[in-house]
This record gives sequence, structure tokens and C-alpha cells, in this order.
Amino acid sequence: MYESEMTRKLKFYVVRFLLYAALIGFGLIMLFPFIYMVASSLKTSDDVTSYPPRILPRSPERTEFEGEDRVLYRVEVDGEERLMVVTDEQAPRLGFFAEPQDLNADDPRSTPIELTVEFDTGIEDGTLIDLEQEVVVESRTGRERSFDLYDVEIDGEFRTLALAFRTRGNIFVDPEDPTVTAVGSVLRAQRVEFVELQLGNYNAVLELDMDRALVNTTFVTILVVAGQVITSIFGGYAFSRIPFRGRNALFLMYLGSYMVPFVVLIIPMYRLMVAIGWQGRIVSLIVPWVFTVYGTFLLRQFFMSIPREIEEAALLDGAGRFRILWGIFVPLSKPALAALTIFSFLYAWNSFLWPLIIIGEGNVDNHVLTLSLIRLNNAAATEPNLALTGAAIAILPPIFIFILAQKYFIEGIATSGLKG
Amino acid sequence: MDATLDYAPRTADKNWRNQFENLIIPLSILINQVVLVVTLSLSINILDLDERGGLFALIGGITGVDVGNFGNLGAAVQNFTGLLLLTPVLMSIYGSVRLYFRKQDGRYFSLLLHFASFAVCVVVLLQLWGVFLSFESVVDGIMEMPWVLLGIPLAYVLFWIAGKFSPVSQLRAVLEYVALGMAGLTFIGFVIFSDLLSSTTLIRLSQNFGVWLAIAGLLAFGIIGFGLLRMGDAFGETPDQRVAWQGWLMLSPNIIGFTLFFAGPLLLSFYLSFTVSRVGQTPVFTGLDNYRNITALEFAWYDPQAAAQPNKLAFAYGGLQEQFVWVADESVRRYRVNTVGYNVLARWDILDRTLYIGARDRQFWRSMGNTITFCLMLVPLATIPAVGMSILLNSKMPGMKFFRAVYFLPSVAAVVGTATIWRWLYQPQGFYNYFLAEITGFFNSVLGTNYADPQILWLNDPGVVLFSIVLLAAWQVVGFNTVLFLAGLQGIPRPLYEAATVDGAGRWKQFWYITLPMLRPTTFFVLTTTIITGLQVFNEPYTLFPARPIPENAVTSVYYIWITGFTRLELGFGYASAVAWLLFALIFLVTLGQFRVQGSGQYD
Repeated sequence: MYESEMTRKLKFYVVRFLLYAALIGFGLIMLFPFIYMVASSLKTSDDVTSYPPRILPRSPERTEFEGEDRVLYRVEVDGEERLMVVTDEQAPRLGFFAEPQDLNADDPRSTPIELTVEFDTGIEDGTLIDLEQEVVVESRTGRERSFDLYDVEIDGEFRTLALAFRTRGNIFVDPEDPTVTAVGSVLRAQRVEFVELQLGNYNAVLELDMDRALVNTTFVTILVVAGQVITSIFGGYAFSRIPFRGRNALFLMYLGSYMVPFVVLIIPMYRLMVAIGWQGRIVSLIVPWVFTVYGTFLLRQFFMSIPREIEEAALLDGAGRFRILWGIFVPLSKPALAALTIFSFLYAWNSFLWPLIIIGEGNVDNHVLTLSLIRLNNAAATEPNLALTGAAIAILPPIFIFILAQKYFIEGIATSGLKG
Repeated sequence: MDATLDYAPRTADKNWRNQFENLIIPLSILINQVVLVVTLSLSINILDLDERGGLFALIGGITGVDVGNFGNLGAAVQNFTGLLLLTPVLMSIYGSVRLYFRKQDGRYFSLLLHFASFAVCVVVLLQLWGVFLSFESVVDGIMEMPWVLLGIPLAYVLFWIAGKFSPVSQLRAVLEYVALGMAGLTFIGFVIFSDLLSSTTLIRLSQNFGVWLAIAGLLAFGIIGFGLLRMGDAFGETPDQRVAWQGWLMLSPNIIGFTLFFAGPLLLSFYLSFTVSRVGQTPVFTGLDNYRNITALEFAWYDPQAAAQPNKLAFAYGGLQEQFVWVADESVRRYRVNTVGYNVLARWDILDRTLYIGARDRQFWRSMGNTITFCLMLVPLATIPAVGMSILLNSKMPGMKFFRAVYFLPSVAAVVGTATIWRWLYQPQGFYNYFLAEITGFFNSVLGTNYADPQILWLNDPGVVLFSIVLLAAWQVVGFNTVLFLAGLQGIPRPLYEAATVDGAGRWKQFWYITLPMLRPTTFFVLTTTIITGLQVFNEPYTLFPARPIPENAVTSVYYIWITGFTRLELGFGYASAVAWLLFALIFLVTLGQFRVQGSGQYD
């Protein structure tokens, strides 16, 4: 019945280990996309799309050859690995052959290759025979792609393989010993790489009008936060401490408005902004959003927890309500105000649907970060590193603020149960 | 006694004040009449009652309200606004009469009018001055001199440092003044950037009659209103009443914002949902047509024998027989009812016949279906791990705060940003497929099986796209839910567990009979908020699929509203509003469900 001290300790450590493993595993799931974002924002665009994907940013090693800066590749020549560069010379066409069941119809170039053959010489000297047959492979999107079948001679024996793809080959040469050459394709050659951070990405992205978006967003955010805090202080105080007829009905109505999804309002708000000439202007991102049901509610809840005695003493001393609010309630409510500030900050910084509708994707001068990011993302097919740099610029400031003010933030959620 | 003593030295002052107060009431009545004339003329002008002539129209015309198209909002909104403007007219008449007889309610009505007019004057002045449209110039200025923005964090840091000193220390006061000055300088910098104080602007303003009118109004309503406000004692104002108007005053910014940017638009949205309203056109009231067009469904049995004959009716369903005309030959993609097209939404084989369901707006039903499926998948993914993680976090092991912060990180990031990240993680050659390939390879080598590498096309495979959005949304919201559950767990009284331990209940039993039941309110709250945010998902599909149109299976309700309202001009704002109200109805049902389950006492 009694466990020995040893087993108890062992059990304790095993349980602890398992718990921490679970916590760390879950934490990695939550963190991984951010790690990927930061890492990719420091990569070259080729590096982001390389397969297999890697975390650390790498750059190709270069060397000078024939007066030009060239990328170094790892090429095997006669069983010996050499570092070589690609020359400008024309090389014969190469055929890449694979087992028919290995064919990848979505991206033939990523098919596992069985054999690489110089295509035209192979046909000429008979080591490569076109069977004039096709194998049809269905891609995942449902399209069909056909591949030609060939008999290929390998060590004197013929095997039937499918031609995955054909490409113009390259001639590699060893810069240290230019007599050593090899034929291959840069598509499948391994680059020599070293770890290097492309900090220039941030500059490049900021120059793509993201600097203006950053200033716009900062500016809008500061004004919205200030406005929300001020209106919420007044509203929260009136709702919590000033009794007047109709207050509770008004409060219920106010709270009820929280249930109305924003989509119901976007169209009339858009029409309203068009009618008063604010469409496409920064003011439309600020003025309508300085009123907040959430903030008023949060501060009301907090003000209600402040003991009445403090206020009554001040009232007896002849202090006016506004004096009491600024002199007593505001200093006492620092945690709630901090929480509200952060919520407002996130709300203003991260908002997207309203800027999309009222500013639009085209109006680059008045873009906020989220809109700017969409623009980068749409143009990012060739430069994912820049899109991810943009994402980092949009995401990192809120994360820093969160880390700084974590305590208030999480307590704010726990007490109100609402998010801005 | 004390009171007389207190007032004795200030007799002269008091006389002056008395005279001023005697003036206030007539002046107040006078400016009430100004309000009356202006609002009445505006109202008549807006209601378009006098053929655009006469004194009232002249006064109304000065304000520059363009009645011709009224912001393209249509006659109904125009008339509504016109009638609404009669409220201040009535208030002015009633308030003036009552004020003349020195009644308290007359004073309050007049005060309300003065305050509202004062606010209107401020807004008009800011508008004429160009404050609202000057933000772009400020940004231009900041772009040229970005270091000006540093003033704000610097001021904050100074305040923070000042806070570290004792409240009576001289240094603290100095630091606070410096910080205030810093913030003020930054603000002045903004004003200079905005070009609002430049000589050209000021000269332009001084030549504008409206500006002088607004300033005059500002002063008149401000001074007289303030005077009337201070006359509480003369009207026998009780302390309760004094407190009440202070409350209304404090709430006034919220009330104004609520009216202008919530209640008004809400009404407008409701009205628009019954109209056909397109860009550049005034809305035309069409009753329930939008709702009918959105939701209309038709059911029809497919008749294979009739279908075999060309150009014959292939569908028969009760009285609808004549209406269905066979269009396509074999694939049954479209069939028509009179002139309005129906699209096949779903088909079921029942015995040897096939039931076709046609929808007039197939995309609406698809988007609703997608949204609901989205929620059904999101809820378990975003809550079950959250419960597990919150229980782990609730243990007293060291480092829990760190993990809590880590789990929360995704919730603070912009969805557009995280979706951008996930878009690249979801690429066919991206990290997620790589992980899946590695995991499959690992299992194959360990178990000796030969499972194929899944190679999921997260963003291209029509069957997967919705799930890709769910995964992203769940990842983003699960940490938030974890914190909510953690708060719920920490709210469970310890003695409950102690009593259970004394009674010999094991951990599992404690979890099942104490933790879960006590978490019920939190669970309902988490479920509702998750469902409600899920029903409004928009940013994820918008960002994950940059190519337009996005895959049909990724179109959510809000995305559909955006499409109909802002990209498909033939459907327009009215149609989109109606879709929005249908979504609102769904969200309302969910909220109502929560209130019913949870009771209503939660806000006190």
C-alpha cells in the first residue's frame, strides 16, 4: 500500500516531465508560425520557397569566376564532391526520368528522380528509346497530366521509366581547376550556403509604402486609444456612480448594441461616410471609433468595485463630480485603464474590414498596415520574404506591447470576459 | 449663518451676478428661438415643402445642405431626417414657454438645446476649418520629420520616471511638467503639420461667413448655456437633479457617438435591406423582395423519362409543374422558373427518384452552409485543447505565467498578419506538408507500413480549404479561450476540492463532479463567443486566398456580404444589408441561447 520514497519521487518527476512536455509541445504549436515569420523575414525569396523548408536564413556562397560573381554548387564529379560554378556555355538538354508510380503531376520537378540522362545524345546512341506510350497521372486538383515512357539503358540493362521533365542543362566548372567540368542542372544541384540574415528586407518593405502605412496606423491608433479612454472614463463613471432616471434602461440598450455584429453596420456606415465626404480619408478610421461599448463597460465594472466611502468623503468636502472622477477614480483605476488602453490599441492596430471598405486597396497613401500587408501579400508570389517581413512589421508591435503589459491584459479579460 | 458670512464680502460681485442672471433667461429664450427658426427652416428645406423659396428655405440654404440627392440616401431617409429635425423645434417651443414661467423642466429643455447647438457649432467650425480632413497633411509632415512622433513615448517615459519619486518631491513635479510640455510640443507639431494655423488657411477662414456664424453660435450657446447651467439655485434644483444632469453631461459623448455611429446606421441598414440600392443611385423601396430573393428555395423531383425527351419538362412537383423548364441536357446544372434562374443547391436520391433543391441565390446558401460548418469545426478545436491547457496551467508548477503568455500570443496578432504567415506555411512545399511527410515517413519506418505522403493542397483542394481556415482560426483563438477557462478554474472555491478529498473522491472524480460542473458558465460563455466570432469570420479567407474569386468553399457569410455590397454592383447595398440582417438574426439566436442558459444576472 505504501509507496517507497523512491517510487514516489520517480512518479513525481515523470508526471512533471510529461506535463512540461505537453506544455512545451503546445507552446511550440502556438509559437511556430511566429518563429517562421521572423525567420522568413530575414531570408532571400528563394530561400523561403526552398524544399525541404528550413528555419535559419541562408544565403548562397559566391565566388568570382571569369570576372563575375557566381553561386557555388556542390557537384559530384567521378565520385568526388567539388564546389563548382555554372558557366555561361550552352549545355545539352537533360532528361529526368522517374518510376511511373513516383510521378508527381502537381509539380513534376519535385518528383523523386531515378536517373538523369543527356537527352539528345541518349536518343542518338540508342541508350534511350522512346516507347511512344504515355502514362497518365491525375493531379490533386483533378487535372490529368501525361508523361512519355522511355526505355533507358542502365548498366547494360534497359528499364522502362517515365520522363518527368526535360530542361536545358548547365555546364559546371571548378573555379579552382577550370579543367574539371560536369554537366548537370541548377534546378537539382545543391547550393553551398551559409547562414546570413537579410536585414535589408525590412528596409525594402518600408520603402514599398509600408513606412507611410506604419505612420498612418500609429497615428490612427494613438488618437483612437486616447478617444476611447476618455469617452469610457466619463461613460463608465456615469453608468456606475451617478444615479438618474433612465440610466439602467440606457445601459441595457448600450450593452445590447454589443450584440449587433459589425457587418450589419458596414454598409450604412459606408454610405454615411460617402455622404459627409469622409470616404477614403483617415478621419473615417478615427472619429467613428472613439466611442466604445466595451471600454465603457469595462470601466463601469471597475468603478463599481471602488468603495463608496472614498467618494462620499470627497463629496462632503465639497469636491465636484468631475474633480472626484479625475482626482480619485482615474488614479485608482490604473489597472483597468491599462487593460482598456491595450485593448483599444489592439483593436485600432489590427482592424481590417473597416479600412478595407472605407479606404480600399487602391488608396495607398492612406493605407493602414493591414491593408498594406494585403497589398504586399497579393504581389508576393515571387517575394514571400517581403510579405512575411510586412507581417512581422504589423504583428511585432502588438506582441511587444502585450509582453510589456501582460498582467493587466490577461486580468482585463478574466474580469470582463470580453475582448475589444 | 456661515453662508451669509461667506457671501458678505462679495456683495458687489453678487449684484453683478444677479443682473447677469436676470439677463440670462430672456437671452436663453431668444437663442431658443434662433434654434427654432434654424431647425424649422432646415426641416422645411429637407422635407422640400416650399418649392425652394421663401425665408425658411433661404436660411436653410445658408447651411449648404444639398437636398437634391441627400447623400444619395433616398426620399425616405430625407423625410425621416426632416421630421427628426422637428424635435428641436418642439423642444424649443416647450422649453421657451416653460422657461418663461421659471419652471425647472423648461430650464433643462433649454439647456439640452444649448448644449446640442454648442456641439453642432463646434463640429461645424471644425469642419469648416478643415480639421477632419487635415490628418493626411499631419501624416505628410510626420513622414518628413518622423522624430516628432518620439515626443509621445518620451513623454510617457518621463511620466513613468516621475512616478517613481515620492509625491511631494520637487523633482517629480518638474519631470511631470517637462513630460506635459513634451506631449504638448508634439501636439503643436501635429497642428503645424496639419496646415491649420498657416496664414493662408486663416485668411481663407476669415473670409468665410459660415465661420463667423459658427463662432458667434459657439460663444452665444456657450456663455448663455453656462450661465443657465449655474442658475440651479434660482430654480430650486435639488442635489439629485444636479447630479442627474452631470451624469447626462458625462454620458453625452457616448450618447452622441452611439446615435451617430450605431443607432442611426442600424436604422439605415434596416431600411436599406428593404430596398434596391446601388452605387450612385438612390434606394428604391421594394419591400421583402431582397429577403425573398436571398432565401427562395424550390424543390422538384427529377423525372428521368421526361428528361429523355428533348425540350420537355423534366421536373414535376405539385402545382409548380409548369414553372420548371428543362435547360441543360444531362448535367442538370441550371433550370429556370419563369425568368428568374434557380441554381441547383443540392440533390438527394430517394428510392429511384431524385429530389433537386434549387436556390435562387445559391451562393448565399453555400456561404451560410460554409459558415455553419466552419463554426461546427472551430468549436471543438478551439475549446477542447483550451480546457486541457488551462488545467495544466492551473497547476502550481513554476513557469505557468510564461506559458500562459505564450499561448495568448496569437490572439494579439492581426488576423491579416497571421493569415499571411499561414498562407506560406500552407504552400504545397511549405512547412506543414513537410512536417506531414516527415511524420508519415517516421511512422512508415517504425511500423513498417507504407502510407503515402498526404501532400495536402491546403489552399487549392476544394474539400480542404474550409478546414484550412478553421485550423488557422482555432490556433488564433485557442489561447484566448485558455485564459478564459483558467479564470474560470481559479474561480472554483478550494474548499470544494478539500471536502471531496476528505470524502475520498479521486482526481478523476473531482474533475468530473466538481471542475466540469463549476466550469459550466465559463464553458457557455466561451462557446458563445467562439461561435459568434466564428460566424463573422472574414479576414482569414480574404487573406489566405489572394486570387479573386476565392474558392467557393471558402466563402463565408461576411465575405459574401462584402462581395454583394462592394464588388457585385448589380446586387448592391440593399441586398447586402438584407444578407447582413439574416446573419444578425442567426447571431442573435446564439446570444439569446446563451442568455437563456446563463440567466441574466451576470452583469452586476
